[in-house]
Amino acid sequence: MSPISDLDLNKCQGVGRSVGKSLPKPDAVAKVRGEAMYVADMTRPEMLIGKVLRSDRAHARIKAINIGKAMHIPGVVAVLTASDIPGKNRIGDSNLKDRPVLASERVRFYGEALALVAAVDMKAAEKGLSAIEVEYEDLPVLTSPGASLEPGAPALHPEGNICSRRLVVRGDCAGALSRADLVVANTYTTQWVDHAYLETNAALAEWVDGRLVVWVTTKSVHEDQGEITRVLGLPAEKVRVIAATIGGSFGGKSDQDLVCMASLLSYHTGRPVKIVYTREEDLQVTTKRHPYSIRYTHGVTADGRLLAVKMELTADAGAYTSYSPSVVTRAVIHGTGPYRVPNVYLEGKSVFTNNPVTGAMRGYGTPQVTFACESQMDILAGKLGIDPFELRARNILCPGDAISCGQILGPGAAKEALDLCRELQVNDRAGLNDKDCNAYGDGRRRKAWGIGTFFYGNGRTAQHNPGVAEISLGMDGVFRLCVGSPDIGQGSDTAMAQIAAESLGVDTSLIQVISADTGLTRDSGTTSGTRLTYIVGKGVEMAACKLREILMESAARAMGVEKDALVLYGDKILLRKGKRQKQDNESGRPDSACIRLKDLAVWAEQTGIYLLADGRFDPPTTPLDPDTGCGIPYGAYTFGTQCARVTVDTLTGKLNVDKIIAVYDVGTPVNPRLLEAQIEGGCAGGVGYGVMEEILLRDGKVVNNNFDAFLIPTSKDMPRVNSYIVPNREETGSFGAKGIGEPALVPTAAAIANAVAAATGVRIMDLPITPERFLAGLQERGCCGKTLPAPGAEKVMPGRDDNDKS
Amino acid sequence: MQVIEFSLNGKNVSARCSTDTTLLTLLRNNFHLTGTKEGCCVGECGACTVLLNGRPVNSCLVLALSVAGQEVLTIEGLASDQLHPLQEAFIEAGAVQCGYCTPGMILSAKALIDSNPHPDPKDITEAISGNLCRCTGYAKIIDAVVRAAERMSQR
Repeated sequence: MSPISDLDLNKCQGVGRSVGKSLPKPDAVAKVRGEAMYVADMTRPEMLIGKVLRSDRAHARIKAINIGKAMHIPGVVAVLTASDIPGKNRIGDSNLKDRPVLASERVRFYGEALALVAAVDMKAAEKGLSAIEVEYEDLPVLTSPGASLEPGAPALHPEGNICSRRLVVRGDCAGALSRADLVVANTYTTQWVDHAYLETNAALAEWVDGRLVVWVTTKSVHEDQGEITRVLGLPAEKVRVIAATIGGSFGGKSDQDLVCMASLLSYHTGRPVKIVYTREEDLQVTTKRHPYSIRYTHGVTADGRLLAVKMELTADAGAYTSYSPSVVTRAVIHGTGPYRVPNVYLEGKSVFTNNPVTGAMRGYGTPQVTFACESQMDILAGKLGIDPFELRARNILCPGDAISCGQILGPGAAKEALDLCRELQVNDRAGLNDKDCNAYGDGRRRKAWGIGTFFYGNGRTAQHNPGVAEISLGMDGVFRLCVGSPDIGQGSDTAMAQIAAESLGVDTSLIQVISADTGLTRDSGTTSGTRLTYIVGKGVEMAACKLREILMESAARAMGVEKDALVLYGDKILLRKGKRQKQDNESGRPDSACIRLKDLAVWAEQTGIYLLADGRFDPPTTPLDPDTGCGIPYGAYTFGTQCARVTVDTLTGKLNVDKIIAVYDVGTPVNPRLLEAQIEGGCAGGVGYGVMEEILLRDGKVVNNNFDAFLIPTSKDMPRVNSYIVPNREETGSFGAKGIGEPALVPTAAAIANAVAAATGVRIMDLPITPERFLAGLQERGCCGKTLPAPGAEKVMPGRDDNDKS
Repeated sequence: MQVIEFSLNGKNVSARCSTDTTLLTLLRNNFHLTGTKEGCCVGECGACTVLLNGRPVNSCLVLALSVAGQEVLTIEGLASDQLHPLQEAFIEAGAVQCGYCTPGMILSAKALIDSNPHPDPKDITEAISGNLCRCTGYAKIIDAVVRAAERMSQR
């Protein structure tokens, strides 16, 4: 086994001439030159600047919004409120559409949009904003799910303050817990974090030939189009949404309020309007990762077999529904971790509050669960006296095992990934001696490795989410591949081109990808849920294979030969050696032993044959049973284990992540370098999540609303990541491939938390593990200023481990 | 409004700007050099990095008037027809994902290599520590700078 960067591709199944190659991203050329056009870089003649008036309180009734003065500010062209919305003032990611574009009666979170200004420049727009007068009547601010669920708490929505519930039940959890040799129960909490893409949200809307064209940084142009048409009351053909170059997403950029606001301003002024969020605005008003409170109860046998897992999870949904129901559902399904557990009771709910709206973020509700679940596994291992790897190996999901909701797994390589990670970690440790673990001899700096094991379902949970692609051959001999899902920087356009090229049997340079333009591409779903390579990629493969058949049939007709006598090579279709040409040659071309693709396209055009094909792949899933949660939520799962080694300075609490080993089963690697890049970037997100990132709220207001106070990892915070894959092939995926986008991040924080506990004996159950939180944990153990006990003699913090029995 | 003259990407230019105009705004709005990105406007993310007399600065923190008579290099001034070795290396090493941090990263790396032609990964880590990247985890960026430095010292 070797790191992905010098992978022996001969050992990987599914690779070919294009799939399996580390091809560079074509978009990188414009990006290194500074020529790539992000929305903020676009300008148009007569373009107006749009700004949003936002509430300066988290919960209030709106008594009046007076725009009279603002209308008279020089340079202000339009001031709009909810009453100017021609269609429905309702948007949202789920079918509920419970969020207004512009609030008119009540604001439910700090920074909720109230009014819009379009002006000739930024200064006029800002003056216009400050001239708008809003009269509020303050309402009690619900700052936590606990507060929202208290009797007498004001209802934030007509159905009350519970946003969603999901239960997965199998076997007899209570009975199994009572029979278990050891039961460990603990409560874990996780923090608010933001995606922190470097490019803030932005949209530019303009009228072009009677049609509204909206340029946006997004993960779904088609969902944006649907929201804009509802809000403006326009038919879909009047609205075209195009993704500009996208400066990162990580699950974010799915909020549709911004595109609707830019569209509204352009609709009313008839002029191009651009809105670019400031960083402060972006951190306040965009959706966040859900903070969770998770109560876990694990029951095991004395020899370390998991008998039962009970999980009670509460997520803060913030002020509106967004993706909360499906985030919680995914979290609950993944609640056992990648382990065989015969008895489960996994319950999750999301609760409305007056905090920022929570939605989709890389890992979609599972990094939280993985942190808690993997902490439980290490605590169990410690109490049972079993090596943490060994405990996981005894329980890890193998082919034929059932996951929490009863789905029987196909051939996954979770065990192989775990074993390889173990081997690599042990080899690394072999170079260390005890002195190294205790570098200063006074027990101050402690080093240890920790493990995080996980699995991740590819695609949207138990929903239809087809990947759709269209491909055609142009008369220039170039294939145009149209995919609706945007490339958010991760390189999906490149991976799709490789899959198409492999399916056609041509060079990747002959594939031109057009993505995320509602005028040119069909809806192939959002760039989310680790669904691009696995689901959209399969749609691309199906389209390209279909087109290849059409090409061969057309060439056979054009050349007057049998289809079987032909082979596609380079940019030509050739007669196989030894095949004689038939006399009744339809084409009459001088070189009748071969036909170039561009000539075939010209012939097809003249003959009236269309050289185009489409493909659609919807993964084989079933809906979840509403009572038991059982069903088949995903078509495929990515498996993996990460190990992190940390150094903890027990005097200052400073925590350094020294190394990460990441081992994955992603099936066939479509582009090894892009795969490795996803893992490295995901680990950076995981390190930030584990040790530093935290959005701090005060009465619903983001206190640390820029990068001076909301800290994300810099180059100095990141260790080298050694990434590996274990050979496997996902039968339902394109050339055997599965996804990596979200799985790259999911287990890192868990591995770090386990490493900290292994190094110091201090078990932190609340993310992030900041120096302050670590030192508080140390103090609770009464270890401050004393020599620490040997690593391994872990004790959980008092009061948290309350119903142990052994 | 005052008029200033300075060298921008090797050419002498002049611009009218007010006392509160930042170099970032001047570059993007007056000169339409949009390769210089705004990420935070408080000097924390480094997306707006340009070279001022060869040294990397956050252009969002530099007042435009203060660059009078000085040399400013933006990402647009780095390549002629041919890409700069750093730009080639960023493409080859897979150091570019969303690309939003890329111009600033490349300029910080250029300042490093100009003063230290053989930087080791530690030097590079330090040199780019003022440039945030959310996509790559920095590994491939560091690889790219090593690769570019090797290539530049061979030329």
